[in-house]
Amino acid sequence: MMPINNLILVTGQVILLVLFAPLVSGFIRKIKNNLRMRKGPSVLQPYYNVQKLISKDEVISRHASWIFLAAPVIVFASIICALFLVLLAQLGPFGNNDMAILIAAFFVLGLGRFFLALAGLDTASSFGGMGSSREMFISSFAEPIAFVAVFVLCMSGADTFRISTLLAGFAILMVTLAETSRVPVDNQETHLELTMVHEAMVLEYSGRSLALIELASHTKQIIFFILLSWYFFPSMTGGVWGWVIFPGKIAIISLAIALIELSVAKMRLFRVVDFLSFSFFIALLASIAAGLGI
Amino acid sequence: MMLSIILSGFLVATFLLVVAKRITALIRSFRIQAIFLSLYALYMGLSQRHLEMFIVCGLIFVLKAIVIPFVLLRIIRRINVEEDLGLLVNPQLSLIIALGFTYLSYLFAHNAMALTDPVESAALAVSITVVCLGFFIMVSRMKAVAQIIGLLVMENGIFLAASAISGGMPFFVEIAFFFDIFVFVIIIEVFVYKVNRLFTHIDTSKMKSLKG
Amino acid sequence: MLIASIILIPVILIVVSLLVRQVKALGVINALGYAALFVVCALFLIDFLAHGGTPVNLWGWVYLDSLSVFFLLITSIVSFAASIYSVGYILAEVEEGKISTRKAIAYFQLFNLFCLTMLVVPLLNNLALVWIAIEMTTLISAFLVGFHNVKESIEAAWKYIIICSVGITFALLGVIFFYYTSSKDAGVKSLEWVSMLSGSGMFDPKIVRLALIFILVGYGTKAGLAPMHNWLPDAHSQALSPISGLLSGVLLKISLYAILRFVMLANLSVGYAFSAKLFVLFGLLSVAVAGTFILVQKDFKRLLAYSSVENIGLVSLGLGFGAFGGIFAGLLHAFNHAVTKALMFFCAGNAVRAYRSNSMDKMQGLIKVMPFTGIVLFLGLFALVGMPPFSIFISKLLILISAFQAKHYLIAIIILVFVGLAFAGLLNHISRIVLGNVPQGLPVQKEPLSSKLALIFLGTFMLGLGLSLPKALVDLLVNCQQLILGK
Repeated sequence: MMPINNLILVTGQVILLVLFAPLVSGFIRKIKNNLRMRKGPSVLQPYYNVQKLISKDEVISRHASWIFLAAPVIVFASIICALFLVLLAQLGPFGNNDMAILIAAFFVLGLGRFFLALAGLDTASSFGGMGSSREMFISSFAEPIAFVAVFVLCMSGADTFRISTLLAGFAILMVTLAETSRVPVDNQETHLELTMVHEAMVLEYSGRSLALIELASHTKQIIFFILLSWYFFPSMTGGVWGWVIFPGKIAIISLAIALIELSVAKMRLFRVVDFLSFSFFIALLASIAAGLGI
Repeated sequence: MMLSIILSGFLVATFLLVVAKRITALIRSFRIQAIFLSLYALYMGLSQRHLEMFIVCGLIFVLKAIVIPFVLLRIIRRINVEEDLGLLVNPQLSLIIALGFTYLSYLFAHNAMALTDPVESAALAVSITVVCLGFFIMVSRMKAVAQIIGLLVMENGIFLAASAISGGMPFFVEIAFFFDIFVFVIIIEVFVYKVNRLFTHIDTSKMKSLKG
Repeated sequence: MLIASIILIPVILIVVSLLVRQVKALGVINALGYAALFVVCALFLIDFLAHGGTPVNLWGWVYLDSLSVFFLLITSIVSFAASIYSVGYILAEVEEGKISTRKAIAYFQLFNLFCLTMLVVPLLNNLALVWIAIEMTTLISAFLVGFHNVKESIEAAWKYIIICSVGITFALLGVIFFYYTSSKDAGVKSLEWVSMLSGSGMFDPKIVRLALIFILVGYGTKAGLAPMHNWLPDAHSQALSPISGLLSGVLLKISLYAILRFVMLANLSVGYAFSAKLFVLFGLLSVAVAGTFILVQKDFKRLLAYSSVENIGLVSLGLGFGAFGGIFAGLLHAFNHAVTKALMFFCAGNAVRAYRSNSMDKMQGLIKVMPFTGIVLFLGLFALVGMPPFSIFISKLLILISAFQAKHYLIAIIILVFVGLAFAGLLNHISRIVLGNVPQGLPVQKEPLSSKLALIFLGTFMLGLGLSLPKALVDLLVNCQQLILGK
C-alpha cells in the first residue's frame, strides 16, 4: 500500500503540474512565433484565455443533452486522474505493478476521449461529428502504440540509455504529436481549415466548459511530455535534482516539438495512418529489442 | 550510452528510408543516416582518441551528408523525374519485412558472431540490418536513384560493421573506400543520365529489352 | 623492375591515348604496348621459376606468388590478343560510322584503364585494395559495355554495374569479417594478405565460415557463378567484342583469384574441405544453369556468355575437388577457357560485322562468307566443347578424373550430363552458323589483318597446350596447387 505521505506528495505534484501545464503550451507557441520571426502573444496567453473563458457566459445548443454538459467535467477529471496515476507509477521502481498503473492511466485517458467524442456528436452539428470521427480514427492507431511503448519501458526500465527505450521514445514522440494535435497530424492554431480534428470536436463549447476542456488538453500534453522525459532522459528523476531539472527537460521537449511542428507540413488524414504505422513498427522493434535485453 | 543514442538514430533513419514513398524523402532520410554515421565516427574518435577517426568523421559528413545528396538532387533536378519511387512493396509491408530483417540480424550478431559486449553486438546487429535493408531497397524500389541509394545504404552499414566489430579499418583503407564511393557516385550519375536519355524514364523494372 | 613495368605499360599507354589523335596509330601503339607487356610477363615468369617460385614481396604493398603470376599471365595473354584485335575492330567501327573518332580514342583510354585495374589485382597484397581494384574494373568496364549508347547496351551496363556492385558489397562484408577475426583472434590488425596468413591458424572457424560464404557469393557474382550470373549474358553480349573477350577471359578469372586468396586464408582454421564444398555447390549450379540455357539461345554472343558460365562452373568444380589434383585441373581450365573463349568472341565479333546482326537465325554459312573466321570458329567450337587435340579436352578430363578420385560419382555423372547438354547445344548452334546456307545477296568479306593475327595468336595457345603442356606452366600450376592447399 501507498504510504500516506507519498499520496500527499503526488497530490501536490498534480496540482503544481496542472497549474504549470498552460505555461508549456504558451512556451511552445512562443518558440514557434519567434522562429517564424513573429512577435506573438505572451507566454502567459493560455492563462489569460482560461481566465477570459471563465468570466464569459456559456451558450448551449437547444438540442444538447446531459452528455454535452457533463463531458467537460468528465474529461477534466479523467485527465487529472491519469496524471495522478502516471505520477504514482513514477514513484516506484518499474515492476509489474507499476506497469498496471500506467496501463490504467491510458484507459482513464480513453474514458475522457470517449466522452469528448460523444459530446462532439451530441449537438448534431456537422463539424462536431466530423471531429469526433477523426479523433477516434487517429486514436485507434495511437493508443496501441502507446501501450507497446509503455510495455517497453516497463521491460527495460528507465535507468540508462538503451536502444529499446530510445526507439520506444521515438514511437511515443510520434504518438504525442498525434494526441496533442500537433502539426503533422492536426493543427492547434486554426479553426478555419476543414482538416481540423480536435478543434472541430470542441467547436460547440464556450465559456466555462471550454476553459475546462482547454485546461484538460494542456494537462494531457504535460502527461505525454512526462512520459517522453522518461524515455529520453532516463535516471534523472529522483531526489531534489529531479525537481530542479524537470522544467529543463520539459523545455527541451517543448523546443523539439516546436521545431518538428515548424519543419514538417500537415498530412492528409489518410496519410496519418502511414505516419502512425511507422511509429507502431518502431515501437514493435523497441519491444523486440527490450525482449532481447538491449 | 551515447552509442545507444547514435545507434537508435541510425536505425530509425534506416527505417525512414524503408518507408519513404518519394525520392526527395529518400534522399533526406539518407542524409540523416549519414549524419548519424558521422556522429558514430566522431564518438569512436573521442573514445579511442584517434586523430584519424576525426578525419574519417569529417569525410563521411562531407561526402555522404553533403556531396552525395547534392549529386542525387542534381540528378533529379536535371532529368525532371517524377517523385514516385516505383515501390514493388508498399511501405507497411516493407516495414514488416524490415522488422523481420532486424530480428534476424540480431540473432545473427548474437549467436553467429558471439560477441560478448551487448552494445558491440547491438552495433553489429544494426549494421547487418542496414546492409539487409539497403539490399531490400535495391530490389523493391524500381527507380534508378533508389537503387543507388540502396547501394550506398549497404555501404553505410558495412562501414558501421567495420568500426563496430574491429574498431575501424586501417586509415588508408578508409580513405580508399571513400574514393571508391565517390567514383561510384560520379560514374553512376553518368549512367542515370544515359538511361534517362535513351529510355525517357529511370524505371528499371521497365528495362526489358534483354532476356533469356 | 619487371613488376614496375607491368603497371607502367598501361599507364604509359593511357598517357599516349590522351595525346595521339589518330585511331590507327593509337591502335598499333596499343598493340605494341601489350606485346611488350606480354613479353615482360613471360620474362617475369621465367625469372620467377628460375628462383624456384619464391614469392616476391615489395614493401608490403606488392606480393607475388605463383598464383598471382599465373593470373598475370592469363591477363597479359588475353589483353595482348584483345589489343591486336581492337585495331581492326575499332577502325571498322569508325569506317562504318558507328562511332566517332573521338569515341574511338576514348575506347583506347578505357581499354587501358580496364586492363590496368585487372593487372593491378594480382599484384596487390592488401585485400581491401584488391577489393577496390575489382570494384574499379566494374565501374570502368561498364562504360565499355554501354559503349554504343543504345537501349540494350545501356540496360546491360546498368544491370552490370548494379548487380556487380551489390555482389561486391557483400564481399566487402566478408573481408570485414576476416579482418575482425584476424584482429581479434590472431592479433593481426592489418589487411595485408601476408600478415593475415601468418595469423590464420588462430582465426575463429565460425566467423571464417561465414566470411567465406559472403566472399564466395560476393566475388562469385563478379566471377559469373550461378545463381548470381544474371548480369553476365547481358554484359557479354552487349559489350564490344574485344571487351567481351576480356570480360569472359580475364575479368571472371580475376574475381576467382580474389576468392582463392581468401580460401587460402581460411585453410588453417576451417580446412580446405569447407571451401571445396562451396566450390562444388556453386560450380554444379553454374554448370546446370548454363547447360540448360545454352540450348535455347538465339543470340550468338549470349550463347558464348552462357558457355562462360558453364566453364567458370567447371573451374569452380575443379577447385572443389582440389585435394585430388582438381586445383591443377581447374586452374588449367581457367587458362584454356580464357584463351578459347576470347578467340570465340573475336570470331563472333567478325561474324556479327559480316551479318550485321547478333541473331543466330540470320548467321548462316560463315565459312563461305568469311572463310578464315569460319574455319577458326569451327576449330574453336571443337576446342570449346572439349574435343581432343585441343587444350580444353585435357583440363576437362582432368577435372572429371579428380571428381572420380574424390569419389563424387553422382556429381561427376551430373556434370557429364550437363556438359553433354552444353556440348549438344553449342554444336547445334555453331555448326549451323558455320556450315548453313548463305543468306541471299551477302558478299564474301575479308576480316582485317589484325583480327587474323589475334586469332592465330590465341589459336596457337589453344592447340599448342592441347598437344603438350610446357614445363613452366606445369611447374607454376603445381606450385599454385600446393599454395592453395596450404602445403
